[in-house]
Amino acid sequence: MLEVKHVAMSYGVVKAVQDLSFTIQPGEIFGLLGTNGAGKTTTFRMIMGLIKPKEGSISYFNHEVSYEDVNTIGYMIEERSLLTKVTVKDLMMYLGQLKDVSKEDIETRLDYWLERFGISVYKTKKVKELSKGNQQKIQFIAALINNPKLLILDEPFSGLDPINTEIFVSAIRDFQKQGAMVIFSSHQLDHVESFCEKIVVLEKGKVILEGPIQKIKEAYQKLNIKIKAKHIDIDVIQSIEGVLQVDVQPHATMVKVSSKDSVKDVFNYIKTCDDVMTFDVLEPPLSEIFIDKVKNHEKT
Amino acid sequence: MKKLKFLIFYGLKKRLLKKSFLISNIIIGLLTILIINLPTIIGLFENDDDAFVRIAYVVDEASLGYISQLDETLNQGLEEDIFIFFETQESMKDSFFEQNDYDILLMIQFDNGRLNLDLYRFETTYDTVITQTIQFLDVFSQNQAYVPPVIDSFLPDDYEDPFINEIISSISSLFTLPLFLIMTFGIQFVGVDIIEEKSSKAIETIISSVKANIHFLSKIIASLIFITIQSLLLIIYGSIGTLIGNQTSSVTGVSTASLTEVFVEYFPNWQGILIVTALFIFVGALLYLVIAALTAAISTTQEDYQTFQGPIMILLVIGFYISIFASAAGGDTLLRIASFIPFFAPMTAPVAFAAGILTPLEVILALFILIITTIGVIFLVTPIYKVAILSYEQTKLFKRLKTYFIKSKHE
Repeated sequence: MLEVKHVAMSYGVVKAVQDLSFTIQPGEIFGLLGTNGAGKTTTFRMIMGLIKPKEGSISYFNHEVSYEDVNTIGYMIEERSLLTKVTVKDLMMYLGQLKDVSKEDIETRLDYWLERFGISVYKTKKVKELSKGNQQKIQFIAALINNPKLLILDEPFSGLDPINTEIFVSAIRDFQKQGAMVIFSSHQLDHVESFCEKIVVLEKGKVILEGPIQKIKEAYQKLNIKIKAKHIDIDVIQSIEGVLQVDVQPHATMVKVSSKDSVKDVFNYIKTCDDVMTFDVLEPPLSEIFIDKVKNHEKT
Repeated sequence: MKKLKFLIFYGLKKRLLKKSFLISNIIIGLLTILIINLPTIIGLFENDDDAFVRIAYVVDEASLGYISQLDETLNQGLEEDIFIFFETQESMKDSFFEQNDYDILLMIQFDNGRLNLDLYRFETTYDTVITQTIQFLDVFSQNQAYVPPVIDSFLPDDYEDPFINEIISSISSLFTLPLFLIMTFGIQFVGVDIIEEKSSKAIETIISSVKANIHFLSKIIASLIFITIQSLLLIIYGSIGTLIGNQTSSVTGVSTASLTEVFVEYFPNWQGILIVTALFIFVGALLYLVIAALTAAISTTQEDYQTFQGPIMILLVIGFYISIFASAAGGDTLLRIASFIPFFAPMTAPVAFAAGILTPLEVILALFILIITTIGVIFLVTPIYKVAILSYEQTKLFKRLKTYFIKSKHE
């Protein structure tokens, strides 16, 4: 179990992370979100024991996290971070042995993952000869080579096509099933939504949103209504109390309302329209909540 | 400890098994052998006909007829005489050093059956050949048991041996060029290794497996081992060069000493000089490696590193030039001062010590200053390295350094 308790980190007057708390249980995938410079990398480094928090504590399987734990942690950073002049095998031997994995285990695991990702043929090729997508796979394998108990993935799908994304997703799910904890960070919030049960959103080092995704959505209250009907009077909808925004799209009209109460009023009006085909009340997507919260935070 | 060992071994393997290491060592090896045997090579092409004519006046009070015999023996086998002898009077000795018409005054006297030889001259080139010839003639002229002559030689009061400067200059090159090469290799080794990992961002994955200070230490130790290996290889090349020189002399008959032999002949305390040199290389290399490692750590790209390492190379080049040219150009004071400046000392102090410009006590002081500075730099650099290695600032050098320094104080 990983338990982050009231953690804060600052560099002089710059507060990189403030009062951050969350818990991850084995077999859980956790989303750590934020815009660029929000404090995600600092948080990852504190979790790995690379830097010590100024305040608070990080407990990893019931002890204070330290550098001694790095061998059980896998880390994949957002950008390409590979030595490109060496072969795939030599690179894995280097990175694997730095995690105290035996040469035999590295070889076995490397063969398994290369096979699974369909790139066995590149084992003896130099990294620089590989395409960006394949380099991404090698970077992913490097994070898994020590069979980590905690896997930190920063933008693992960036630059991947849908097929390869699916292969990554399935590998991450397998790790989850084996009981590993996964911290997942991505700007593609649809992935976060499909993967994570709990999230924390950081903005300029501050937590602006946290908790289980479902609860966050419920607490957000705002809802979207998708309407397909003829002769809708937009002015009438806009005049209904609680309607925040009306967006006329080619095949539907999207109405954003502030609460469930307003849904009823919109529905009462739509009933009077001709040929009503669709009246769907939709939960707001995570991206909408994210943008809304970040903008509000910027204003304050 | 296991990771430190692994990183050191990995770094060394990566460097020593490179083609560039092999090629550079072939070139350095050949150059070293060539430099060591330079006197022999020059000797092979030297023409005795180019020798200057020396006019010698002889006062032969012993009346042994040595003038004609000296003329015959010293000019024997030469197309043109290089010694021209005239007989003269003893009174000439009073004005010998005030004239420029002749080069040597030889006074041969007998005192109680023993030959007394007074040799007046402006330089020492022909001392050995003249005195040995006289002794040779003396042996044959004596009937009883041989008594060696008493030889007194005189030089002008303001005499300076020109050969000493040449020797010091040669020794400076002999010492300083390999030192410079080794230091440059070391700086390149540590810098390129770190910047390769940093610019590719592989450092993120590496530092998530091994502590930054272990990473730093491994790079420094691997470079020091590399420098030691390279130094040993240079010694081997030097030995091979000396061996080849000896073999060449016996085959060609040109009996010119190799630079190694000249070194040993002119520097009776050569063991001390070698120890001093080794100590200065070791500590000096450590100082430069630590700074090179920091430079690579604060760099974000390969271009950054090329720019930032410029000042380090300039310091090294200044030290190199001071040690090579200062002694030859009579800049003893400059060499002495530079020996107490830590960034120049690794190259200037051994040369200054060999040339007798620094006393043993002074060389110990210079080494002490270098060690203290190196320790200070290590303590200052290590925390900055820890911060800089995972930071990617794009600001100017000093602003970047300042930022990392402040961050290191807060971490």
